[in-house]
Amino acid sequence: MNDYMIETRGLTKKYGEQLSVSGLSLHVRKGRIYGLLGRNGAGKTTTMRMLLGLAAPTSGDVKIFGEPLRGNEKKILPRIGSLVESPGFYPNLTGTENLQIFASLRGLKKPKYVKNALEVVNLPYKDKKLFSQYSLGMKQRLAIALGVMHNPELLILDEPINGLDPIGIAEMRDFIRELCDAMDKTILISSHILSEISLLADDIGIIDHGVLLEEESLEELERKNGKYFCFRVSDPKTAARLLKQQMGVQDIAIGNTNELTVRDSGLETGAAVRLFVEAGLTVSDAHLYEETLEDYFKKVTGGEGIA
Amino acid sequence: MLKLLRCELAKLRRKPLFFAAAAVSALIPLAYALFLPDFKQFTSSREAVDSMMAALFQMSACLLLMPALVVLASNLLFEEQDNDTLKNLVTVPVSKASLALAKMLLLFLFSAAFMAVGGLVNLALVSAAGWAPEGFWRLFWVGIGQGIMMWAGALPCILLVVLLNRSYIISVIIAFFYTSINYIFGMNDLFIMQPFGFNPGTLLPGSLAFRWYFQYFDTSHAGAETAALLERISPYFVTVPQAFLVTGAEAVLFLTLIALVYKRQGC
Repeated sequence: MNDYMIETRGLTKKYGEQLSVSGLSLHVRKGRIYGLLGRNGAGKTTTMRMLLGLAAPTSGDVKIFGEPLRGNEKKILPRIGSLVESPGFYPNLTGTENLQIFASLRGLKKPKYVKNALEVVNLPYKDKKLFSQYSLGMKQRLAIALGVMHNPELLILDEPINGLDPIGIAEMRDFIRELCDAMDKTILISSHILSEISLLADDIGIIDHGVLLEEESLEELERKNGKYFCFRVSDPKTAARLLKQQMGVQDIAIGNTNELTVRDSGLETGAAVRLFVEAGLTVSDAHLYEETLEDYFKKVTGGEGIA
Repeated sequence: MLKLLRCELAKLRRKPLFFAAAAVSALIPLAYALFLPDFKQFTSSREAVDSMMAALFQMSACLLLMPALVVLASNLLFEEQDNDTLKNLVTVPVSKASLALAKMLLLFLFSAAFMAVGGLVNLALVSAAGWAPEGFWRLFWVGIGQGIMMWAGALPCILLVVLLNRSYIISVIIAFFYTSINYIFGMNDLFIMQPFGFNPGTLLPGSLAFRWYFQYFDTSHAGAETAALLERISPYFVTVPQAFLVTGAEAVLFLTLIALVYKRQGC
């Protein structure tokens, strides 16, 4: 028995001849926020649709709460809250009326469920505004309210910050974090916005062209990210010798334009600069460079960056 | 299923199409009363009731209810895809087959209500004209029965609409042709003079309904034309069990097919 809330093995989805998701093996741990990161069209939504039983996998297995999803939908799905693609509601009804329909179908008889769900996303209860008159941000909030209304253990959220303004995004981030930290929810969230995933997720999966390229905790990814110092000195060869002899630094590269690159996370910049100056060298620039998650994403996907 | 039906009813709020379709049930009786000279020339209460109800059965049910059912069905079935709500329902989880059946059940209630409203409008008009509602209540229930037959009869057409998936224009065209064919066949001797069995006269809703409801009219003072028709078709009248056996069997068959086809369609 493992503590994975979601586990997939070799999950594959083909639409005709087009491979949308290929051999995906995903592991979402209990009480964690898992960020599925990928460009538009990478296969995030298709993956989420398969996790919710909205699309049948061409091959592979999906296990949720340790049980195969197929054949156990009636048992598993009521324990999941979801937002997949754009928010879908009845345009002729108000937000409250829309939620009341789904509350009734979920067997949530007391009005407090709808009221609370609207409250947490800052939407008014029993407002007269129809869903068709909602802004994109309000629609997104209502979809989140629907996802959390029945107090699910697992939330599957596909691009939940789409359409939200910057304040809304920050609020949504805090809300999702709180759901995980204070309410012990497990959350799978997908996004093509790298900064959001890096601010929110505990674990990250990088998906590209339907293939899960990397699956790590954020700490592990940060540890893997490169860190290096760059100096511009009057005599880089002398500077390199000094660093080797006096400070025991080994990984040094001399570049063009008097540049010296040092890959040693333990190096003290101040001490190195002092050493160069005392040896009569002129230091015109000293910088610490850290590879960002975006650099890492580029490296892993072998292509361009992400928003 | 009741929970789903309640939700279907809740979804009808502020939906003008549904209420406009319901209001149409009063149209033919009102038009009949206002524009046809026959209305002023009745010689007895029974004749007034029979004539008004016959107009309801032949015109409202066959020409208005049937196409209204098909158009409303396409609206109800495709609203989930159009509004992108099907994914929310499936993840509850609600099975697509149950959802389709709940929608068909709603149309069943609509059919009964449509005929009931038409009947009650007739009652009001007959009463306003100073006639007693003689024999009305029996015909009122026959009308509701015919509404149910029209509902079952519309199901093959609804199946076709579901198969063609979300084309409202095609739905309207199909509804128009189906209604016309049913109306023509329902009045044609070739079809209404067929024995009860596996033949178009029994299986088509228009002719089946006609062979059933016609026997409930008072024909004791019928004119020459009606008497001749009665003589021709009375051997082919169907009983209540026969009529509802066919209706029930058709409903079960086509509801199953609609549920299966709807289930196969994507979210």
